[in-house]
Amino acid sequence: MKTSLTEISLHPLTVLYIALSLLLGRFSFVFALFFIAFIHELFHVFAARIFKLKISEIQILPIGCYANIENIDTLKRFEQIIVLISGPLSFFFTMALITFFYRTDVISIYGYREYSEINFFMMIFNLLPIYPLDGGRILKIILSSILSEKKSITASAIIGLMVSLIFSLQLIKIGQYLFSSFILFYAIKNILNIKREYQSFLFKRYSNEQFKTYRIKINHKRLIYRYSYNFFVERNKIYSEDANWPIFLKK
Amino acid sequence: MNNINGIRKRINSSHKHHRLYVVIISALLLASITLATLIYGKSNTDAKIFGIPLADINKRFDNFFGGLFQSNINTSTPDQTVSTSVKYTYLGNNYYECEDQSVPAIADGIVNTVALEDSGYYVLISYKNGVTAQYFELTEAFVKPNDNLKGSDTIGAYETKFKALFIKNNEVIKYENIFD
Repeated sequence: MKTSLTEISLHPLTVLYIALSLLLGRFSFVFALFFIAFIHELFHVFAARIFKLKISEIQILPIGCYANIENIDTLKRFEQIIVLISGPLSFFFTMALITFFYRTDVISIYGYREYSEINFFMMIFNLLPIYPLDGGRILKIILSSILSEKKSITASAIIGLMVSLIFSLQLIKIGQYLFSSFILFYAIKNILNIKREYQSFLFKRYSNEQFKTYRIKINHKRLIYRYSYNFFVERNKIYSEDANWPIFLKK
Repeated sequence: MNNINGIRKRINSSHKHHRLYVVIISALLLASITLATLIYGKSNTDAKIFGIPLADINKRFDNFFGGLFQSNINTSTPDQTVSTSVKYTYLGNNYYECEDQSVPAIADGIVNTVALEDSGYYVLISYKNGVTAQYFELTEAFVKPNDNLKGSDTIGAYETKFKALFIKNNEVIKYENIFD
């Protein structure tokens, strides 16, 4: 049955995380985290609704929320960036909200200190250039408009791995194993999935005609740029990418 | 007939769960049993399991998993206990005073209760060093429930003196003995 309502699902680890926080008396931290993450996700949902995209699912994970926006690739580049950057912008709104709560005496100065700390942390975390996070998605769009697709996938995976190593080391120092293992897991997964991701990109690209609407680009090597309609010159002949795309799989 | 047998086999085998599912479910079960045991240890300080006091396990557990609820990247040591210098002066009959008219926290801790009574504010704080402190007769409370306090934070203010009780291992102890 199809409904217009978005499905909200709770990850089993989230339940365990909340139980642990109750045991250690740190539920206020988890509450603040989910409050901030939920507002963040709402901003994404609003931005996606402007471009009439459908949100199929919102997952509640221990590290925050994740909204699955359908067909975000069909948008233009700057529209995609608007949808993605609306998330990090939400942290300014949450900061204003926290300040308002403090001014109206809903939370104390120590609550204000803690919540703004969590808010800042979530913002930095969200902007890390590791793929499933917003920063990683934005980096991918920027890289794939400069580099060819294969190089951009590789470059973003390598940048993600380097950043995650530095950041997770810092996190392990303070005992934050949850966030550090999350970013390490995805950074390594991205590295291992470079080839598969390129293949799935090709299959997705040639399953619809959208790439034909892009600006034409003529290459002297067999390269594919994501945001252009590629042709390549070989032995004084010109080939279009869609007529010969299976050769890109072999390479 | 072969086909029907094959279908029967499939129906029978579908009742078996995937191995990964069994592993995850048993891990969750184990986790919930552990949590229940530790909660029992929190309510009953003398409880022991296999000869090891549960309060001890709870403390280690707290040290290890406390970091999961940390977001300040700059603090290299999350469980800093503050200097043991005497901050409160004893006036007798459970009354104390401080240098100025504000009440500082004695260590890192979490605020459990803040309530306004006839005599003033009542604040209950669980410190990480195992001491539970009750403050009475404060004219002002700067904290709210669930606040995460650090050693140098101010709890509230008083006019001439304030009443406080310190409890450790279900016994009322003197202020001087807190840091022993």
